[in-house]
Amino acid sequence: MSNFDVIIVGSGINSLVCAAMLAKSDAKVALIEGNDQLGGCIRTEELFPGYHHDVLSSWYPLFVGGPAYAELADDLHREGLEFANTETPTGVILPGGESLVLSTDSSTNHKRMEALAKGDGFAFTQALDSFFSNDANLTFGLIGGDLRHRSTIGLLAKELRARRLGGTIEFAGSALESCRSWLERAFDSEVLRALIAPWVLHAGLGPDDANSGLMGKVIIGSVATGGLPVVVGGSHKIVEAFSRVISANEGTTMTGTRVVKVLTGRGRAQGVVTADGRRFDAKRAVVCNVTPQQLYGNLLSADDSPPALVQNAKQFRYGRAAMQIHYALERPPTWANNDLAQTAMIHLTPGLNGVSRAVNEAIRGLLPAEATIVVGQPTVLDPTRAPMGGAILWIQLQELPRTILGDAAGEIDVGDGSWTSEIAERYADRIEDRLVLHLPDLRSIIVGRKVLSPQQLEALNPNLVGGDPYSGACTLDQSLLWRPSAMTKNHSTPVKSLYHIGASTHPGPGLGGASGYLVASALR
Amino acid sequence: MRHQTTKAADRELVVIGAGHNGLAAAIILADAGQKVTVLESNSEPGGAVKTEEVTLPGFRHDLMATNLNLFVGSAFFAKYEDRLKSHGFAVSQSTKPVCSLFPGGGYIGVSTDLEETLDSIRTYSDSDADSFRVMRSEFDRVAPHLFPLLGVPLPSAAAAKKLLAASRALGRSWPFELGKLVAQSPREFVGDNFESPEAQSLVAAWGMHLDFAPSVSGGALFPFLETMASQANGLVIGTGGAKTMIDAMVGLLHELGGRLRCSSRVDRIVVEGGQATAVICGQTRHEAAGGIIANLTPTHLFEDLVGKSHLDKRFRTHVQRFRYGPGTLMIHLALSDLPPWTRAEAQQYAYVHIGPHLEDMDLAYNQAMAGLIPQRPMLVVGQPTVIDPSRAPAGKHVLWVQARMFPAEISGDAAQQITGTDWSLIKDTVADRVMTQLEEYAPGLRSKILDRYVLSPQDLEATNANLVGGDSLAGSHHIMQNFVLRPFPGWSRYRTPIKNLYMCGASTWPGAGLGAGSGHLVGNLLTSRRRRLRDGR
Repeated sequence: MSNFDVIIVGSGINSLVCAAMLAKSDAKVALIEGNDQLGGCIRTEELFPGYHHDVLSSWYPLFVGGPAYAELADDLHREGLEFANTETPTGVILPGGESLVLSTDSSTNHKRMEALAKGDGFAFTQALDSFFSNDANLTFGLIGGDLRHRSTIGLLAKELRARRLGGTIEFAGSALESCRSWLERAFDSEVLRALIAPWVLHAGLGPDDANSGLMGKVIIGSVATGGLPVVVGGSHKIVEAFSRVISANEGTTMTGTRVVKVLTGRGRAQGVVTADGRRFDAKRAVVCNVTPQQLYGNLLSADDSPPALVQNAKQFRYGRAAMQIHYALERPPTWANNDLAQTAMIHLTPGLNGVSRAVNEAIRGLLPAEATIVVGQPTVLDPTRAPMGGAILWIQLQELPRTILGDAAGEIDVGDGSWTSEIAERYADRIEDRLVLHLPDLRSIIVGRKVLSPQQLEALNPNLVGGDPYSGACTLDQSLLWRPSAMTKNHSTPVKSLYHIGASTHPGPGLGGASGYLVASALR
Repeated sequence: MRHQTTKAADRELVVIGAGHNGLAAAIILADAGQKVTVLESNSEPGGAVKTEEVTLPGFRHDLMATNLNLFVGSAFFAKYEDRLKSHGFAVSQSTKPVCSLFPGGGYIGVSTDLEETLDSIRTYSDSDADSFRVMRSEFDRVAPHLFPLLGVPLPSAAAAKKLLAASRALGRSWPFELGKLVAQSPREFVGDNFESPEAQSLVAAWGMHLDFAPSVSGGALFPFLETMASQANGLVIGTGGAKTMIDAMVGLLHELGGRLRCSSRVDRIVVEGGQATAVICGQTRHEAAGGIIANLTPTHLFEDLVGKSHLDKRFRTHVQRFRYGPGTLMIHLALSDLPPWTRAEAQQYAYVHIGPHLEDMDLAYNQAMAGLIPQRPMLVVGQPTVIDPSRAPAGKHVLWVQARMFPAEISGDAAQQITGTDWSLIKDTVADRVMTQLEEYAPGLRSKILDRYVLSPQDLEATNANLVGGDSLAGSHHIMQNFVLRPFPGWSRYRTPIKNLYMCGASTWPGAGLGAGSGHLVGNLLTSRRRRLRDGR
């Protein structure tokens, strides 16, 4: 039996942030992870000799722009964390070869967009300026803070005074706008629309979803100002840095130790029990970075929480599945369009309607005929991940059904609807055929290709239910006060001193670490 | 040329547009002693409520709107029921409001007999029948609190009070539950409640009457209310045609001393010193010292009639951003007999929904949004003559087919068969495709057709200028443009930046449908204003 102040279950970014902050505040912290390594969705593997692939998440704009980094940067950098960034974070290429690269220099963007359609450069600059000068505080306050907390209520009151009721309702209206509506009214160029539309996928939305307009502005705005940082050497380096910060502050980390039960007594969480029967006591708090189903269905007993909440948690819904394809290449691929060679993340898409169609197909249970291909080029920013002269492509597909009803292209036999490695490989072939159109030499320089199906994603991280990389659908009814349930307040639970963090909780997925930060702030 | 000035127009109030909301407002004001003139650009009043013999003599077709449930349930109707009836208003009621048909002869029917409805659902799933029963009792619990909320201005102290009273009665967590329901998509809502694709479709299909395809966030409330309300109360249509409602409203308006002038297109609203003072119709100037109520879309009202120079930049931006939903295609059939549905029972229902499934509805919507003619639109088939035989010669029938959804501007055909992009040239080809689809569910229907009349999205707009791009809702109902955001954030209470100028109609809260909500609310607003003026306050 061991005694701690705070036990944190799971070791994803939110847990790492929470543990590091609390350890630094002199709490005796234990981080308990079921997998054989720390990191949750942060995971680097040497898939091919000398090639270090971030097999799941990889990009850190939310982290670098977030409050956790502001607080922990010095410690993490002291423990070896280094970011690499770029001035050309993202680009898009359409099937006909039209392309656009976004720069972190606003005058360059202005010029390029004006060249595509007169007025579009101006409209883009204006959209971002108006977002950052008028709406950023309120937006980030809502998507970064605890909603039922005096600081958020104070912010709302302040904004309400400044904007008055009319202006506040106006903000709500613009916050609910779909990305399609924003793009169609604001920009004439299909290429510019295509540059922005795929980014709403990274917020777990589609371009026709309510609120996707605002999320589009948040993300493209962040990328246009902050670039797309990656961790030098591979993302495991940030996990190592966190781990060292935690140890240096007398925290404990355990891997391969699966928590099966949260112990409750005298109306509060007392500790946890692990699969091997060990018991760990927590004097102050237990913090679980798990899905609602795991928390209320497995870790807690039926009588720990009201039945309505257990039912609510059971109904927590998962979103579209994702798939990763990792290429190890002999050398950087040659883009038919050379502008893209130095771009960190490129989307291959037929455009706004193409993204909309692929999302729609996934919602209808189909393998999309023409999915949006997210092509990350981490080695452009960080060549150390590959042997000298080599390159890595990090490819993500975010418009997949969790259970497959059919193939929109009518080519792949989907069997009983569950993901098999055969289906994933055949689907990866379809993607590769499209990649080759823009990367003509790709097939001749492949050292290795590794496909991770939605099922394999879930195997790597049980929070990715059905391969949903965001641990829960991000549509409006599961956002804000409703993530994971309106029946719990902020990150508390019905059990005193038990807290719920992670992508299934507000403010949702991403490497910002916000839920861990909020709980650590409340506890210390 | 100088405009003639109509005489004796002192403090006259002008309503532009004789849709049912404009007429409702006019009636309330005339009833309060206000001098009212309604100006209508078309030759007939009614807006989207028109009944005409567009196919053969004796076959009366509701050209667009047909379902009068919201009207007979409205606060306006409660107040004027007897007087409207004395002017000939009559309804025919169906106790079998709607059924959904599925491929291969599958079917679920909703009737006012709850047990019969549950039996029908039970053919697909026992647990879905149980869920439907639970949903119905939930509806009974919340409806008395929810419907009054839809009948007050938003935002308002009255609405806040009603919400507060509701959470007192229904529990403190109710506002959060309501919030979730308001935020949910139909797909999410039915997925939480039903396991069978058929029961899911039964409810979600109602969303397609607005622009809520199954996966559209913010679309769940309407299908929930509409499914449950029609199960509880059935469905009513106007006897002899929906026009009975307009005729009665016009009759009542005249009785109250109000005037209606058709074929009077308003070209301009005169704004002097920030105040709307008169309207210009051709050579005629109608003084409107009592105010102007425009039952028009905000784009037409502010861009064409008021003019940008009278509006600040912020408001102009709102006008510019007002978004229309996808269009509708209407097919009217004169039939020698009812459709030979694959399920004979379907002949008894007021509406037949052919989605058939959530996937099909989502696909049709997605294609329309991308500018494509959908391969298989969702079909709402009205069978008015089942409940009101007076609409056709003895033994004959009319069929009201609404196909959802279509693009206003066509960029292509999802089926890659139709090459044209001009609605006036291809509407019959598109209608043929819809008929082929319908024939799958009613084999032999073609042989019963005596005549056919098609209204493309373009035709709908030509019939009623408020149906921009054939959008039968006069503006998307998506959550960014609904509730307090309709038509614009901060302008959901019928006032405009121009003094004395008010708006109402489907583009304003509570939106499309024949509930006379906005007409009633703006009428009340101005009646109390008039009272204040009279009392010198």
